[in-house]
Amino acid sequence: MSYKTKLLLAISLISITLLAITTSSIILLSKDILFERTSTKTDTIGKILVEDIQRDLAEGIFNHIEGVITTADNQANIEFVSLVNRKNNIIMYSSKSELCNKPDPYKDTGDIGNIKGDIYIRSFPLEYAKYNFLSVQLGYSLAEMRKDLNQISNRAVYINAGVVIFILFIAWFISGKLLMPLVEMKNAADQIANGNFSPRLTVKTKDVIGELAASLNNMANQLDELTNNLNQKIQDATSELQQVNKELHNKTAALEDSNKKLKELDKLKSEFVSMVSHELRTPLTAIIGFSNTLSNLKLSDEQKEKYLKIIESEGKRLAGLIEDFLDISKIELGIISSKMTRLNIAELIKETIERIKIPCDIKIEMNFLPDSLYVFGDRDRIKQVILNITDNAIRYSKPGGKIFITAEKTMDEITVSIKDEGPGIKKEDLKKVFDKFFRSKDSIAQKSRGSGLGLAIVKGIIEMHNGKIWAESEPGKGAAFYFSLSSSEKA
Amino acid sequence: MAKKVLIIEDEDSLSELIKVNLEACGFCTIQAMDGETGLKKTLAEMPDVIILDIRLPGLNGWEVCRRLKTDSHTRDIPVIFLSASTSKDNESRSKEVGGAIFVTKPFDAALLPKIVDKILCESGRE
Repeated sequence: MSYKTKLLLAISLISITLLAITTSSIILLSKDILFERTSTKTDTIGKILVEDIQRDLAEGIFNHIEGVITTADNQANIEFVSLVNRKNNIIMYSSKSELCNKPDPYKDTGDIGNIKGDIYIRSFPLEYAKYNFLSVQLGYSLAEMRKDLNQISNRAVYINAGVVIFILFIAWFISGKLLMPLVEMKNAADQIANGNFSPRLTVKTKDVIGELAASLNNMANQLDELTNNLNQKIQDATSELQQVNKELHNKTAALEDSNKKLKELDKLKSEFVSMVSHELRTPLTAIIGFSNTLSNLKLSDEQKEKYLKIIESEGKRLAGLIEDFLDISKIELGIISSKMTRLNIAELIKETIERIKIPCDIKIEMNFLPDSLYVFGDRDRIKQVILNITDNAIRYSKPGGKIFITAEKTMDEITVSIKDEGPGIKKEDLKKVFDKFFRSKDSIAQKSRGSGLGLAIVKGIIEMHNGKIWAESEPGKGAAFYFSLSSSEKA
Repeated sequence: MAKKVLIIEDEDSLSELIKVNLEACGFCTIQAMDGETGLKKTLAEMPDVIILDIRLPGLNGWEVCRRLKTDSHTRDIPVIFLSASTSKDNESRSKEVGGAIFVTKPFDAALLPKIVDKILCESGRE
């Protein structure tokens, strides 16, 4: 049962009870008034009759008495009027009355409130001494009074029923109006309970309901603020977390990258060790093998001399390899020493080429413009650069191939180029050729018997001189190596 | 009759070292500086044993051996591999391609004739 129904029911019960009491009070009061009025009227008529009859009796006008009785009987509501003696025998009665046929006289009905029949009967004794055995008996009809009473009761009931309906309607309207803010508050509280803190109530009154609405608004405000704060904090924490996550991701990526680089470095290191050992084995095998052969076998002097020369050249090769390994280590550690002097590059190239063992089927062409080109650098290191690049060119040249060496001045730089007619270098390998132990996968490269460090050393030396070094190639048509050095002392 | 040994080795000094030690033990030797020449000389001379370096210009040792083993004329000639690499991979690969033995550098030149003898004995060519 809803609160509104309960309220309505309570109001109805109270109003109905109150109205019922009022109605019955009105009816009872009306009854009393009507009874009083009837008995007074009867008494008045009775007294007048007694006085009239006594006067007639005193004056001896006996036939006038009948007229008096009849006149009284003609009064409204008078049922009958009769004159009775002490033994209750009827001596005289009004003409209208039907008492002539009645053998027994009437008895007084007593108090009007207790009458069950329709007639109120009362006797009034005559006080005149001569006739004091007589009394006038009066019958008064209660029908009209009862009719009036019924009418009053009915009206009271109808009016009160109307009032009840009116009160119910008002109660329904008022309870609805009174309960409206409560219903609104309930809806708002429901929404708040469901997590929606936006509803606000309009505070209209200053009573308990108004205060409750204000409290509810206050609660919603605080919840709203709290939630917003929380949301903001969550958002902040989330973005912070995202930032940290991003940083972590970057760090992980960087770590992975450096790990990858370290692995590559480690791989390069083991490759270096493996390559070093590999490169050292061949000359060592020759040196040890020929030494044993010389001491174990009987050989001609010619053979002995030949083998001794092999031992010597393999020993030199071994020394060269060791030199290369040391050079690259020094370059990588940055502890290479240099004596910078002014060098005539053309003369230095010529001098270097003269000392190289060039296969007879390979021709070297040199062209210098102008003849005297000077650079600043370490004589031995620049020689090593020319030697290594030329050596490389020779190793990759086909029989009958040519090698072109040029040097020219551009601005305050001298650029040296060494071109061959070998197989060339693939585009993707152009930058790798300066890496340690890099060897092209082309089959002809397997002829290479260098340490695999020549170009790496060259790059290290040129960079030490603040110079530039690069390679160009058109696969199939040969490769060209360039290096440029400053011609002034500043660099 | 002296057994013929074909030496396929691009390093002059090593080829000479092997040659002089084998000849001192009575072998007849033929030299080849690269794989192509080695294959041609195998067909022309039909050696009893081939000493084959792995790292060669042009065709490498593995390829030379593979070709020797697929040719019915040269299939039965035992191959002794020479390498500066001590990798276990190379040793197992030499067995895969049909090599008789895998000798790593630096090797004892005086022992080489004995290895050749042993291989000839095993292959029933003695």
